[in-house]
Amino acid sequence: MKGDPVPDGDHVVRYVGGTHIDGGIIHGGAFLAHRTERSPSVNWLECFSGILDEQVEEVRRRTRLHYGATAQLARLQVGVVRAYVAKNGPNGHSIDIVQDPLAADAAMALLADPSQAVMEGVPSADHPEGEMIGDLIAHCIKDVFPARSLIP
Amino acid sequence: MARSQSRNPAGAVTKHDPAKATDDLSKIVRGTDIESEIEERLGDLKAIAPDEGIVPSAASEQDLRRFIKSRVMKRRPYLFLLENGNFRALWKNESFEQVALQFLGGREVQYVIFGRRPDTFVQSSGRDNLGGIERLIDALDSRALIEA
Repeated sequence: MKGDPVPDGDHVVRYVGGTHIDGGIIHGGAFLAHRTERSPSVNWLECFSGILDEQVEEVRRRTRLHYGATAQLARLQVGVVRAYVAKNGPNGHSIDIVQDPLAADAAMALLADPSQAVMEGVPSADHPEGEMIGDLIAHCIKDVFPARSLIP
Repeated sequence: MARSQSRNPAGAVTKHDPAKATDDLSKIVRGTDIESEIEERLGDLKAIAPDEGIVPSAASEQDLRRFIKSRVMKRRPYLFLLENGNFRALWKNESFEQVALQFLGGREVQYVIFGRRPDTFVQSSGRDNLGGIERLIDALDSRALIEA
């Protein structure tokens, strides 16, 4: 339900454009809000059934973003990120990851996306503190997947 | 035993030290490799930029080049292009120590530095000019992350 926290034991993926990836390294800028975002958006994997690859494929199927050819989806465990930022962030900074599901839009031919969630409490890229929080989040990346589907 | 000698362009004789010459040569080759790697990466970023709707900042690129020029680096930094068009350079190691610099243009940088002291994790973020950031990198004992 909108505004509910994503459970600490669950995982989210963040879309990471190719300009934020170098030699397999993703920097913190990837986890800061884009111009079009109020807060950095992520997708909650466990809201879909199936094994991990199927959950990721469902995220791809429902996305409203144009996934770049070199982009990736970075997976994070919610509780790990929250604890790591709280421990290492400036002044006990905390972030929350909350559900923000999107309804279907028939007129625009958009599927519903119940996995949509946002990371609240992440400062913008314009602030040094924001970049620091982003870099701390990047330390918590569990693994990555190609953003574009491998299924023909 | 004969010593090999060479003349520098000004005509003064200098001793030839084969070991030193090898070191110097490897530095030159490594430096050239790093420069070409940086050029290649900048080219890649500019090629990806339209796909991500980003217009790279010439002022940011100029400051990045100013910062990396004339220093002997261990390896090239990881380079990223931000949504605002600025370039960000990142030097890091496996212990999560890092120097990350977003080149804002106008000789200003936004930095995030993580370092380690024996008993604590040091972190600093803020904005400074290109001269000030050099002093800060030294103050946080982070120069070894960048330079050979």
